[in-house]
Amino acid sequence: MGNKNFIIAFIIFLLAWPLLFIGSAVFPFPQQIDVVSKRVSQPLPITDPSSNLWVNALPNEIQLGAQTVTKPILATPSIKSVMVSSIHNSSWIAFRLEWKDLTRNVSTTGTEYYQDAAALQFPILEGTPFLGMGEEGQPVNIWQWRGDWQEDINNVYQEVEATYPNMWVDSYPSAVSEPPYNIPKIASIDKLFVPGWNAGNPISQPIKVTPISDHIAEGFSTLTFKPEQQVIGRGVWEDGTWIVVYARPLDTGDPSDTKFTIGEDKSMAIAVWDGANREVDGRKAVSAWLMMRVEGSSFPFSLNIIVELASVALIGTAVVLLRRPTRSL
Amino acid sequence: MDYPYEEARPKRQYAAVFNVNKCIGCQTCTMSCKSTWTYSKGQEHMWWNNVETKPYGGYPQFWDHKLLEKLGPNKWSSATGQNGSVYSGKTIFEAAPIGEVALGYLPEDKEWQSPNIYEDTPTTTDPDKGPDESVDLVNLPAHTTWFFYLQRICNHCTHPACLAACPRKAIYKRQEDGIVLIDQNRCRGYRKCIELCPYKKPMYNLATRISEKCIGCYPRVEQGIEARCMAACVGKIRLQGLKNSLPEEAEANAENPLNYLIHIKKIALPLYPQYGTEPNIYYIPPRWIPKQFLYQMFGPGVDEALKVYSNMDEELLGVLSLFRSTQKILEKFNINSNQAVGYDAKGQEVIRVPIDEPVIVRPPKYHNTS
Repeated sequence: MGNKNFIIAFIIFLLAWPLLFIGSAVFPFPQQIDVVSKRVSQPLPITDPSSNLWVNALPNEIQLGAQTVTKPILATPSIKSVMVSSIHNSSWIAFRLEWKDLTRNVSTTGTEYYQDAAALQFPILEGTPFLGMGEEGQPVNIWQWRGDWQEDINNVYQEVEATYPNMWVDSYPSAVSEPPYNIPKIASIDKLFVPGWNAGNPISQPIKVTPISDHIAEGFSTLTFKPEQQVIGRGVWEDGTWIVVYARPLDTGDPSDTKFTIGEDKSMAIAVWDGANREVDGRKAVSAWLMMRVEGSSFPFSLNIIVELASVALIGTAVVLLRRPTRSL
Repeated sequence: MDYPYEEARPKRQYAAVFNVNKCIGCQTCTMSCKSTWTYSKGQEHMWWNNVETKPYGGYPQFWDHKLLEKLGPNKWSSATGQNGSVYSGKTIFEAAPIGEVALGYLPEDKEWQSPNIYEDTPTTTDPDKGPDESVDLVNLPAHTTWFFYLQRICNHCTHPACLAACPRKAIYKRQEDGIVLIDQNRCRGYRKCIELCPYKKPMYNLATRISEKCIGCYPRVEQGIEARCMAACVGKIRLQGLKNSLPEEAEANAENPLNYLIHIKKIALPLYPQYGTEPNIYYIPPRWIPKQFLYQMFGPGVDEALKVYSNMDEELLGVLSLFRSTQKILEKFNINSNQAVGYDAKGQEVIRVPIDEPVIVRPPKYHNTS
């Protein structure tokens, strides 16, 4: 092989190194991905948390800790870890949470009754804002599954008689009903006399459509129900374990929703509440920010083009340079 | 004081004076509020106004005992209020456990049951004699065997613990009249307000799953009319209006009957002032109750208040005569020639009452008993 080829190979070799470093700096090598949303081609099992389709996604165990930044602070939340997995079919994305909770708390019809709940949090814009529900100018999308809403959907909207089955009231002055009278349900009482419902509070809405409430937040104390509720799902408790599925279209078209793009990474965080421990609001078990990725195809490697080309160039030129010259000396 | 928000006093403060000496425990106030606001589903256990028999009664049960015990004994610089006593103890905000805004506890459903428990149940300070045996039952300064009625509504505090407690700022205090309200759209039923209100006046609606509280009958107040519980009082023990929030402004506006009773004559005292929320319902203390009990409940102004109340001049008697003479909120009063005159916020006269009622003797032929 001639000197000219040798020199060309050497120059390429020299150039490849900086390219490799630049490529690594600009497009870092893949960081740890905590949740990979595996691509499947079937419709997603939105209401069946124990569907076979979930075997495609290996769950990851995420550690949870206390929220200690803003009052009220509960230093010792019950739930220590949660298993999370995700699948998508390019149209919808679903997440599955599984955690151990010995008691099934689904009642909020009592002053001291709090429900089991779990929430997922995603940034809406690029980047990763403050873990504590985002910050001003960097909103987050929060999907909260609630045990009491689940019970409302499984059964019927739970009211006073759910806790006090022997109570009796002949009639409420504001009830709009005909005899024979049973204890009227809230839905049959003139809304004017049901303050929470009349004020448009989704918590007090007796007709529950989904057990998952869809919110936006920009920091502590700003959690707000979104006008369009986009997330559906279901939670099932059995033998001391909750399994909850959340599902939503990847892109709802609403700019105030977090958007999932195939092949892209996104931060996410998880919070879990144990009703038996009177956990609610900031008194919860939270994860750190996790990284999730919406899997693009079945190709397992990430493609960082510059790094790949630079690597090929390095290997190629190294091979050329190290080959014994064929010409005789 | 460790209150989490900046001081922001309202232009005028919804306030009332309750004369505990005159309450007969008829519960008309309780029923008037109940039938106006809390008769719907989920509100069955709610009594935004309640009248409890002290010392044992309470709604929710033992609400004051529990918090006083948690707070522990604390001192005033002068127990008897001489020369203005200063509280040197901890308010519920200073006594807050780590991670909390204030000291409190969450009453459970069953503590809200039986709102009139221990009604008319006396206690006795004579350890050797039972209530029926004590011979000096009714001597002053303090009866040996005693009880009294304590009428309570939300105090619409100047530094509300409920407002400080809410993690999402769903409670607000109105600028125009200092009425404290829970935003029914914003509340998510966390119940920190119920936990941290020292008077336990926010309550949980079991059907809507969010919290509610006394709204100060604000639709009536906005029209210049007193709240339902005030207007309905059979014993005429209540006067409600809009006082000046700052003491110095109140003292300068002495023609307002509430300013006069609370800040000038000082015969009406706040309930458990040591909690630190500056409650705005003021009580003329019951005369026959042992002083130690009254100091704990109404603070060190008790002795002075009772001294003035027991020896009132015509002006004070005139203002007290205006109680329940009208439903309209009185902004000003005027006493002259045996008459008490009340004026509304526009300065118009709305009521005129005699201070000494004329005595009329019915002629014998109209007697129905002789």
